[in-house]
Amino acid sequence: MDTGTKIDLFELADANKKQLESEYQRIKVKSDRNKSDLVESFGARIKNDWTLSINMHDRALFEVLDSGKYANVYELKDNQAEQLKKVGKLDDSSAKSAKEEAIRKHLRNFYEGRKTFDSSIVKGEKARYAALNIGGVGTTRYGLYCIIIKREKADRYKKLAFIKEDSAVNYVDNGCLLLDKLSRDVANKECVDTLAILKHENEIDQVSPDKWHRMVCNDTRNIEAVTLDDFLRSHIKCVWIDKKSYNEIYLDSLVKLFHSELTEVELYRLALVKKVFKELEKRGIELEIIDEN
Amino acid sequence: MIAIAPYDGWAFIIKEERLFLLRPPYREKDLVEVEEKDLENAVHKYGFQECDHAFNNFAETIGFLNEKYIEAMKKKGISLPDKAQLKELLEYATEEILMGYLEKAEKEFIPHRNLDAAESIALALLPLEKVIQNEVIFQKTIAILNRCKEEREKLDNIIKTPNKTLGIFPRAESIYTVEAIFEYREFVYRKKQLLPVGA
Repeated sequence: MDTGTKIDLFELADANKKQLESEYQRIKVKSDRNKSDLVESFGARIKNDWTLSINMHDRALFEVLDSGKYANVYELKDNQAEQLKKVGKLDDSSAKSAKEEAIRKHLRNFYEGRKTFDSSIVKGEKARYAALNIGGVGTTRYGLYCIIIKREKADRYKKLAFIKEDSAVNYVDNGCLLLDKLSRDVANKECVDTLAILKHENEIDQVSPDKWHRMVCNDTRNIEAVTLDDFLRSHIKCVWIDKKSYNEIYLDSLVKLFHSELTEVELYRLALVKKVFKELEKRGIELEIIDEN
Repeated sequence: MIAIAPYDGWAFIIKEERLFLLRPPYREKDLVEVEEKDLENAVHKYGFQECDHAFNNFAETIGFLNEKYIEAMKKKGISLPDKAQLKELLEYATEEILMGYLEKAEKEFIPHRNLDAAESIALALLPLEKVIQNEVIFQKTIAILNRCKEEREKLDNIIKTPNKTLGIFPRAESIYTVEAIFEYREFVYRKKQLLPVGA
């Protein structure tokens, strides 16, 4: 697909405003008073509290803190190719194909969906993915640390769109972008509350408001945030960790220092945890322990 | 195993035709059943790499992950920390965690005569800013040190003044030497348990 036929995801998000508003009215009309109040309250919660989160492991978090920038998979491979070029193991002509191959190898079987999506949108290779977050430790399945982006920074991202479901799984079929579906399920930041209402219209009154944050972003479901702006270290408001995971570091692992032997793997893990904690302290970023129970 | 994050020791594995995410420390509860879209997400967004390895059992799988993790850490130039370096992690512990350590020392280590462990916890906590500034934690730390001292004195008493108990066990004294009785008594004291569990 050449540049001319690529979709501007952010224009698509802006253009979807009317459709989202009419869907919102549909929900309001069919809801009884109680549900309607809850829908409004949920929308207000999203509008007030939304921000972006990215979950990662200690090593990835350390690299973001250390380098000052979050790199997506394409940039990671670029960096690796650059390093190889520096040490003379790769020349310019082969760098591009090596990078392609590295990405293909990295994503291999799962390459097509992501590649289709990323190559169908303008500057797709620059896209960074996060999750809509209104509280909670995010998608901990993929990383215990949940980086929370400062709302005022996210608000200033020039290119930011929200997609109802996972972009590479739900909007791609047989190597083609499902444009109609995507057009209906994308929102800009002004309409993210409406998109969240549409996504959760059948759950809003089933889930207690104090658990809405887990409904919006959890291990299996979230609203995807896509941006072309950089996620910089200075954009990090804080890092959240689930209390259970935090306790495990200290009460299951570190305590062994005092009564038994730590294995080599445990020693390395704790060394990495220490590096992360020290780096957070150095950068003035708070690690907040969140009790999800 | 079909995908691995070697720097984190996480992996996607197929077991009995079902897809699981395996996470450290690799207990049964750390095995989470997932869907294929989770795998796609993990590969694209969370640094997992596709792989293709077969293992005969869970232990072999964990062994492989541990090996890859150590390899990755070495590649990243991370050196093995010593105990003193790791104790610095206590500076980042919450007061709740620090209390948890003291509870463990008080309710687990001291009753089981693991005085070295209890004492080293208290000594490691004592200089921490959070401990100094929290009267409750500070006093508890001191109390643990005192308890350890008392327990050691009791033990020394038994070892150093054996004559006190002569004549209490006349039958035992007729069969065994006094030294053997004292030795056994010290062993029981240290072990805090005469019969094996379940006897």
